[in-house]
Amino acid sequence: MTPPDAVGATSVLAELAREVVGLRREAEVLAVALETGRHVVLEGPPGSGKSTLLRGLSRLSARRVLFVEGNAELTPARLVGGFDPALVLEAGYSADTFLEGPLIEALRGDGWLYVEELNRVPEETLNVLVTVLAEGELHVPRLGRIPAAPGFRLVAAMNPFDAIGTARVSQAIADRLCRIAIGYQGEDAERRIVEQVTGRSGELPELMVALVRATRDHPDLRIGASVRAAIDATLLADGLTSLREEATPTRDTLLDAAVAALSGRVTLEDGSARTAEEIVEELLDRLLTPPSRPEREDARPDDVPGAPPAGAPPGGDGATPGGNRHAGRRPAERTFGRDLLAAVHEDFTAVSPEVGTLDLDAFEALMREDADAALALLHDLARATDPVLRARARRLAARLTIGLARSGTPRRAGVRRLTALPGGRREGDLDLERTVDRMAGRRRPEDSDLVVRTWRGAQQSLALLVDHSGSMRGRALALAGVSTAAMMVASEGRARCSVIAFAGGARVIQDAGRPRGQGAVLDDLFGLHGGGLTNLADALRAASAQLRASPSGRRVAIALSDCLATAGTEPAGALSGIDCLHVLGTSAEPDAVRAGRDLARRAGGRFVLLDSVASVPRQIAPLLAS
Amino acid sequence: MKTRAGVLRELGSNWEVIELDLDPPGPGEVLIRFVAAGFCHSDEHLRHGDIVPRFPIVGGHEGAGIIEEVGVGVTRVEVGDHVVCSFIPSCGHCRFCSTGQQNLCDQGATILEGCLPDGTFRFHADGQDFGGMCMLGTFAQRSVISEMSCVKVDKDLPLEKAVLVGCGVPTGWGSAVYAAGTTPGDTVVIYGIGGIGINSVQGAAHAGASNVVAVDPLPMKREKAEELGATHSFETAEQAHEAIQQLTRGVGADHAIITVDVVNEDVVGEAFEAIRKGGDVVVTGLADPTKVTVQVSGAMMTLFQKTLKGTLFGSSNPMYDIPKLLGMYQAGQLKLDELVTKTYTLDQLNEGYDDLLAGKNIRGVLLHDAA
Repeated sequence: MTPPDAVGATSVLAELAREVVGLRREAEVLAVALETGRHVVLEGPPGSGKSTLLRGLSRLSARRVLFVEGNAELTPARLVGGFDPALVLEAGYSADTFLEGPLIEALRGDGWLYVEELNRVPEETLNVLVTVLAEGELHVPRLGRIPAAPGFRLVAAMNPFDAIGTARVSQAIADRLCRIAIGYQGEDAERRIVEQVTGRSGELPELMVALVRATRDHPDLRIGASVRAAIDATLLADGLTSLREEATPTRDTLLDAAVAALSGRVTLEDGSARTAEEIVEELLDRLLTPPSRPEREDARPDDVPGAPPAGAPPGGDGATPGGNRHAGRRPAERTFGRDLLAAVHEDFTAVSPEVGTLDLDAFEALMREDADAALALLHDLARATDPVLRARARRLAARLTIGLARSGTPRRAGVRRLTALPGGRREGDLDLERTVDRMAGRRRPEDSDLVVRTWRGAQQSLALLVDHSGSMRGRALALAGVSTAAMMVASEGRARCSVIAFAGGARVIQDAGRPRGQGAVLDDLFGLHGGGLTNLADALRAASAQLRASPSGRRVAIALSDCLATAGTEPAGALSGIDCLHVLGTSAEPDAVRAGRDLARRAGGRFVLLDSVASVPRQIAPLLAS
Repeated sequence: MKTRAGVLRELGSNWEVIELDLDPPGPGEVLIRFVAAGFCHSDEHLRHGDIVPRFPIVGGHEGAGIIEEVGVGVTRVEVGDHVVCSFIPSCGHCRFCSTGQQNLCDQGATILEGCLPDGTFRFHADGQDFGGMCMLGTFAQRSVISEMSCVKVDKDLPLEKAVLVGCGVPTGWGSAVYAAGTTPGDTVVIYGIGGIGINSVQGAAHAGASNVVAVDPLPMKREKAEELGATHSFETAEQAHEAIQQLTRGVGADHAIITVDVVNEDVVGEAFEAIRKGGDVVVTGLADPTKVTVQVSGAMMTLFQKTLKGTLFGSSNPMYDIPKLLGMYQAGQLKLDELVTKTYTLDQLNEGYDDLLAGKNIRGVLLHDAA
């Protein structure tokens, strides 16, 4: 075994510089950190070269790297390893019957354990790593103590933009790691990478690098594409060009390549109602068209739903079928002119002094002063006749709503716990010890003997019922939006959830079986119009149908309503298939409160009278956790 | 100043995009920068001789834009105003304007001449005067027009949608609402679902017709008609006739509206057949002026007391109906966004008309890109 300090940092780095474009400083820090026995976390967006760097370094210093993909399914057992059930039954617990996981391999054999996406690793699993880092050894029941070999290193990687499905890495682990931040490389470096990997040069790699870089600044994208996408796009475009026997790639060929390479790699901004394909197409057209008409940006921004993208190329292919693509997505609805908005909201002219403007500073000031009034105004602006203002307001409303929901929904409420569940379940890690106990000496386990450890909390399905009878404007819409977002945020990745809007009848906005983006759901919600009647019973039946379609678990419905049913049958009679119904009261009228309380009690749920928009997530978090 | 414009030099020629000289606005006139123009069949009629203008002429009579300069004595608009143009001016005090028939304003006499009310022209090139279709010429990036053609609209309305209420929408909508006088419970049949007919469908539905029957050979158009309010749609007049007989227990339609591209004897005859006793046929579409396109049995007309009438601009009053229709758009009642099938640049003018003739579009809209 080579002791760690034998790594000749200087020669390795010189070698590395030939293979890895750029990242010289980061490579130096990483090499020295590992050489001096430190554990490291590499933080950077996907495709910024984290793995390339580590692989290069490990090969040159002749170290094994054990790659572990961090995700929600990474249980301690998968990291550490476990006893082979069949062998245990034959030979009992011993080192021979233990199948070592990557952590033990790394501990024993001087390897580097590389955990990608560290912030997606569940807390229970992270705790195992903390012990190893703290004690320099691992204790496995019935196997014993495994000390870390001198060359053992933990290298973790994480993506700083990642907020969905990630938990904050705890201080205990952060305190034991050196952090190396790796950003995107410069345009030149990225172009060199693409040229080096693809063997192509000239305009095509240049265009694809520019395209990929543009995705990182696009307002509708939270995470842009990496240089890997540029590599793929270049190769695809090149291949398609020869397949289609084109002298130079046409726009369509470039688009096909770009969409295939990029659209799955970018992450939409919270609340964006657009698709990744649309954004890739827009950016490509922008790059293909010389910037000749700057004034267009203002007159007709690219974010107006249904409007032709600004700067659509003049070529035949580029003429935008403005109406067609979006036609039928949502029928035209009532919009509000500026006079009306000014008459209803005293702050309107401050927030939108001119046609097409939304003054963010003024809006934020209003938010600080009176969040409810600000949100009510914003939701009316999301219905403005002015298409530019409407698009901006919608985007802001969706983002703010999801932001509010995220900040107000405690993580604990949604954290899943590993729990041992007896009785023949087939999913999860086998809890061998308990299973053997239950077998009580029999040779073969029966189904009911099996104990598995699995995630609890995944087994809940939720249905949110949004009442849009009466005037669905301003505050009511803001309440509905935040409640929906809070539920979607809390159930991210663990519960199936459906959203149903109802007035005289019920309409499924989000089907539990076919989840859509949060942005699209909110966009639909913001487009809701008041109907006259409140038919709670029909809505409950629709919720029940959604919940019944869920495979298993507790079926919880949450109704956002004043509960004063004016149509349909008695709501309490429509509760079949719903295990629990919580009621979020929207009206403080004594009759409404009584009706809501009554219904919730009969349905085994709780009644919460919503007070302000901003506190909605906090108010409903306990309902989502139970 | 100079401006680029789509022009027709003579009967049967193609659209040509050339640069023209543009005079400053005279008294009562304004300089307008067009943001959007509509592709209406009437401009194409110029090319084919169904309407005979003075050549050469700048095409386009649906336009929406922004006022950049006003001449002496202009009172209706000011610089910066957003305007939807009316294809027929309204002076406000001729016999027709003052009796609620602005669509027949005497100032409309020269709309095919394309000169301004004083009889002179503002577009010139190579020593020649160019008229502007309907005194507008909205296929030009900029034009000088009479203030009588201007209808001021709210600035927060998207001009590329509002442009449609300059001609196509009120013509179709008004044909059903005003000219036909549709009332709740009526049965209305509309022949030809283009930029006009689709709005007759909307108008008939708004007026409360129980049966709105759309007739068009193209499936895309029938589908659109049903999206915007038609209760039934058929490929042929014959199929429609049979359905109307069933729907009305053999009585016939209350109103028939003819909005086909080029009106001929056949469709007028079919419409005349389809209506009930005391019903009416409204002829909105245009035809070759030298041809006889209406020929019906006078005896039937008398005995069944049928009415056969023409309408211009759907018998709407531009100054009243243009803002009203935009209000209905804001209220979500009148669909405009759904009408626009495709947008074009000025250089794609011929392509836009090819698509129109091929029946590809409900409405095509030209988006000007001049700064």
